[in-house]
Amino acid sequence: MIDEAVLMQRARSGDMSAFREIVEQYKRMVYHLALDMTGSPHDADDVSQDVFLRVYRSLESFRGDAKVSSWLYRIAINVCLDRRSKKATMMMELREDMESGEHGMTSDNNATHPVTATESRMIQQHIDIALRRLTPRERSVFVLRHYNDLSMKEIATTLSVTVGTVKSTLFHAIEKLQKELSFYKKDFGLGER
Amino acid sequence: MTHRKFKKLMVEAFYGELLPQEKELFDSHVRVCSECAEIHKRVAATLGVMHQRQRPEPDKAYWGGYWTRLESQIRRDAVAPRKSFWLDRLQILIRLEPKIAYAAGAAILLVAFGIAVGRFMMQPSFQQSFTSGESSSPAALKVEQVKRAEEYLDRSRTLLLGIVNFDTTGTSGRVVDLSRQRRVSRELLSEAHALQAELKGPDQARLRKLVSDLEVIMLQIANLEEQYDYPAIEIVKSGVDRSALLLKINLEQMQMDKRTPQPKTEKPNS
Repeated sequence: MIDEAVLMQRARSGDMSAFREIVEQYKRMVYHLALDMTGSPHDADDVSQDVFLRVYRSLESFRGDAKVSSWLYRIAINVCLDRRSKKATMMMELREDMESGEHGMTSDNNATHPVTATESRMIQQHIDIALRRLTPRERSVFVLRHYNDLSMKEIATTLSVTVGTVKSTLFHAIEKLQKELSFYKKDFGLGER
Repeated sequence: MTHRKFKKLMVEAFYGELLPQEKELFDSHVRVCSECAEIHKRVAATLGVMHQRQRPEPDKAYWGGYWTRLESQIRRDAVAPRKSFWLDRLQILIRLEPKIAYAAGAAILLVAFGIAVGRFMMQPSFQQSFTSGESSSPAALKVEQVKRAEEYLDRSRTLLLGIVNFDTTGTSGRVVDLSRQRRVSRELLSEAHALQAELKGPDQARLRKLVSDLEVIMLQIANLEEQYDYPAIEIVKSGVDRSALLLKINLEQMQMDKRTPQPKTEKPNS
């Protein structure tokens, strides 16, 4: 694999094939984060394309003292938040959209038994609804930590906040999720105090 | 370890970010404290449910066409106007920290209001009303008035010439930006108010009337749409023509040149 810094250097000098390599390398990462943030494959597609468009525009401003992935995460979060402000409606859409064949979606869910499949779909919907209840900042922190495996320090850098802020935001996010999912207490031992 | 310390470390513990020593303390506390053990269990269960989330994965065709779509977007973007970076930042700030953003907005408004009040208080006409008895003689005031009127007429003439010579017939499809004209006319409008209040002398009646006529036209220009407002431009042009404003400005400027009083200066004793 070609070194990231070399790729970025080539992309900065106008080499489209180098930029394409960067896109190919990170498109899934950006798309997945956008999906975590928006909850809709359609929006995730728009956001991820917009992210790379902004990256292309601002190649010059990439200083190289951070990882490309961190830079992309930061831009992706900003694009998601920006999009959210533009939309009057909530971004998160119910899971039905995801399973309606948009972009030829295939879910990891291999359950074939109708009851199991229905249960699984219900859980997915509840998770999405719970995520929707989080504030934009809470959702950003939670999805970066929980689904994208960034450390709290990396999240702090990405969102330009302190590690302490990340910790407390994550704590509040988990508390909210716990309340939202409290009806699962019988199945998963959840519940409010 | 206290319950408080436990809560503080809990999030890091779940995501494996505790130092070995902290982890040992945390685990031993969970073993002996039933209250914290219960909290721990519930949080673990919540995160367990959240782990069950499945990301739907687009198919190969989607990923195959990804670059092609992006490339065409880049091409389109190359010719499209761009949004301001700072506007982006501002929107994100409002979204993330609405309280801070609104507080900052209120502070800026307050400062702007202060500046506006300050500028109003420091206007020459306002200052003169306080200082005329001390440092400004009537002749010097008149010179000042004439100078301001001259400047006002000069600026008005330039603006009107631009509007009168504006070709509204051959501009279809072209973006015509009238924001500058609107801004200048607003400045002239506020200047006209101040001038009319000052021009009280019997020999200034004609100038006062001209400023008043110009005020109407300036109001029309200030209310033009920023772009493509051709019908309104035509109305302004006919108004200027009907009132012979450019001619009157020229005449008035010629008169001013003739009768501009010179402030008396005392000759130094030699």
